[in-house]
Amino acid sequence: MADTSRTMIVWKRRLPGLIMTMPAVIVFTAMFLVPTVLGFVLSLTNWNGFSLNLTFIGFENYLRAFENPRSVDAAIFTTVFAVVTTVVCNLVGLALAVLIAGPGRANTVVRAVFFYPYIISALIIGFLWSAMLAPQGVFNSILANLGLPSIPFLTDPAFAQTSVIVTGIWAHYGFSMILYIAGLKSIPAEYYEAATVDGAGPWARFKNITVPLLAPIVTVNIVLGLVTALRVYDVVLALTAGGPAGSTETVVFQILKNSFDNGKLGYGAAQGVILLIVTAVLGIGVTLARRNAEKKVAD
Amino acid sequence: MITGRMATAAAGLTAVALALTGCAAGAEGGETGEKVTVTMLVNITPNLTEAFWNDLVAPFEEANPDIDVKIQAPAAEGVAKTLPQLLASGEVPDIVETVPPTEELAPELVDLSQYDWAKNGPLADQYSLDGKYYMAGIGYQLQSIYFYNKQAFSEAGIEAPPTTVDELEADLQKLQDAGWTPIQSGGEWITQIPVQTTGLPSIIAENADWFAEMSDGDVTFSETYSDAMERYASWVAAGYIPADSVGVKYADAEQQFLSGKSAIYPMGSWFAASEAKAAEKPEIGVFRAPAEKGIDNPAMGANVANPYVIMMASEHQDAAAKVVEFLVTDEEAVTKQLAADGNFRDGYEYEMDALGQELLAIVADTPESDFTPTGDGYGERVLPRGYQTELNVQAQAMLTGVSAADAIAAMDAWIESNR
Repeated sequence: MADTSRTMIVWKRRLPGLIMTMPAVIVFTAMFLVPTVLGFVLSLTNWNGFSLNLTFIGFENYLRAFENPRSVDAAIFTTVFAVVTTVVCNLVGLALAVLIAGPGRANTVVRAVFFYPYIISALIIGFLWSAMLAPQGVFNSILANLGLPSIPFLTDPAFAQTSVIVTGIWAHYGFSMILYIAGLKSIPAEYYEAATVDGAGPWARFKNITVPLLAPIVTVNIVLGLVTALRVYDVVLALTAGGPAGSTETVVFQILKNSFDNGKLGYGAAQGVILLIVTAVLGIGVTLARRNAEKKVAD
Repeated sequence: MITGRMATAAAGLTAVALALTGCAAGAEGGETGEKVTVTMLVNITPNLTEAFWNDLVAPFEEANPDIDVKIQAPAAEGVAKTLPQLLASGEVPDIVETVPPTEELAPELVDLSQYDWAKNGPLADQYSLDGKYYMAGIGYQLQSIYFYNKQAFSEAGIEAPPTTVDELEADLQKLQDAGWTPIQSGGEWITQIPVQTTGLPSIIAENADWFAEMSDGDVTFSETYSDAMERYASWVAAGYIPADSVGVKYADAEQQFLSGKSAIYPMGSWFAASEAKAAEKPEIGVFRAPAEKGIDNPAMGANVANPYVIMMASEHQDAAAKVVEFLVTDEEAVTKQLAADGNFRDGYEYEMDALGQELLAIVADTPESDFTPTGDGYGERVLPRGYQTELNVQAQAMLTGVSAADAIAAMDAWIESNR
C-alpha cells in the first residue's frame, strides 16, 4: 500500500514534466524518428517512387553507393566542400568579428553588410554568382575589356569546384562572424584591461584571452558549419547544376537526382541514411573533441 | 516482398519524411448527382500558367456543371518529381499531365483502351504498353530538328539546309569561316541535345528496335552510338561547339541564339513559342536533323505534347475521362494548348509565324512510323531511367576535354550497371 502511494506521488511529480515535454516528443518522433526509420526501411528496397509493391534487396543499395564511382566522387567533393568552407568561414568570420565587434555606428553598418549574404536565399546566391562567373558573365566581360583571356570559372571541372566552394564561403561566413561577435561581447573587458596592464600586446591578448574564451563558439561554428555544408544542394543547383560533367555534384544533389530523375528512391534513401550517419558521427565527434579542448582551456 | 498495405503505410509516412512537400488536395467524391471535383496535376511554366489551365477547362466546366476541374500545381521541380510524393502520401490527383506511361507507372494508371480518342491520338501506338493505351495527348513536340539563322546561312554561302550529316559538318565549317559560332549549345540539361540530334535519326532509321535491344543488352552504346559521339567530340575540337558553352544556362543559350550570336540551335520545337514572343530576332528557319548518307528516312525524335493519364487511385475515373476527352478532342482546347507551348499537329492551325509553319510542315511530312522517342524513351521503347542525364554528363565531359572513347566507355558502363 505504501509502495503504491509512493509510486503515485512519484508519478504525480513527473506528470507535469511529461505533459510539457510531450509536444516536443511528438514532433521529434513524427519529424525525425519516423522518417528516419522509414528512410532506412526504404533504403533496403528497390522502390522506384511509383509502384507500392516493394521488394527487399538487403544492403544492395548501400554496396552500390560505395562502389559507384559517381557517388564516391560526390562524397569526396562534398567532404572537401564541407572542410574548406567550414575552416575558411571560421577564419574569416573570426578575423572580421575581431575587427568589427566594437561599438560604433560604422561597425554596425559593416556588420550588417557582411551578414547580408547569409540571409539571401541560396538559390538566389547561386544565380547571382552564375551571372558573374559565366563565360559571358561580369568577370569574364571585364577581363575581355582589359584584353585578358577568360577564366573558365564554370566550364572547367576544377575551376567549377572552386567556384562552388568560394560561393559557399561567401554565403556562410557572415553566420560565423555573428556567432564570434556574440562570443567576443561576452568576454569581460576587465580581462583585456588586466592583460594590458601586465604588458600583453594585441596578439598575446588575442591568443591568451580571446581564443580560449571563444572555444565554445568555435565548437558551435564548426559543428553547424560542417552539418550545413554536408547538406549543400541549392547553391550547386543554381550555380552549376552539378556540372560540368557531374564534377560539382554533391551528395544531396545526387540523392535528389537518383531519387527523382533516375527513379531510384531506394538507392537515394540509402545515400540519405549514409549521409545522416556521417553527419551524426561528425557532429558528435567534433563536439566531443572540442569538449576536451574546452575542458583543457577551463583547467 | 512487402505487402501493398505495408508499402502504402510506409510510403504514406514517408511523405512526412519528405517534409510535407506533397500537400495536394485529393479528389472530392460525391454520389451520383453531386458535384464532383476532378483534380488535375499540371506543369506550370511561363507558357502554361495556372490562369491558362483554368481558362482552358472553363468551357468544359460550363458544359458539365456537375464536374469541377481543380488545377493542381506541382512542387517546385515539376510534375515528374511531385507525382511520386503524391503517390506516397496517398493524395493522388485524378489526372496528371506530362508524365508519360512507363512499365513501372502503368499499374497506377487507368487503361484508356476503350476510348477511341486515346487509341487514335498522336503517338498513341508509340506510347502504348502491351497493347494498352494509358495516355492521350494533343500533338507533337519535335526534337530532331535544328533551328538556324537564315542570315548566317546566307553569309556562309549555304543555299539549302543539309540533308546528310556530312553536309551538315561541311556547313558548320562554312559558318565558322564566315565568322559565326556554328552551333549554339549550353550547360544544364541541354548539352546532350546535339549528340542525340546527330545520332538518333540514323541509329533508329537503321534499327527501329534500338531502344528494346539496348535495354535487353543485345546491342551496346559503343556499338551503335560511337559515330555520333566521335563526331560530337570532333565538332567540339574544331570549335563548332564552343567548349565554354557548358557554362551557359539554357535560358541564356536561347537568348544568345535569338540575339543572332550563333548560327544553328539544336532544340525542341517548343523553342518556336519563345521565338514567336521575341520582340527583336533574326530571321529563323528550321530543318529536320539529317541522317548519315544513304539513309532516306531519318527518324524524327518526338514526344507527345501534353500527355494526360488518369490515375488508378482516382475515385472519379469516368469524370476524369470526360475531362481528358475534352482536352484532347475539343478543337478549341487542342488548338489553345498547341499554341501556348509551340506544339504542332497536322490539321490544327493556329496563328503562327513562318517558323511555326515550317515546323507544321515537318510534322505533316513525317510518317507516324518515323517518330521515335529520345532520351529515356517512352512506351515500350525505353532505356534505363537516367540515361539522358548520364548522356548529358558525358557530353559535358567531352566539352571539358574528355575523349570520345572515354565518354563512350562511361556510357557503356553506366547502362550496364543500370540495366
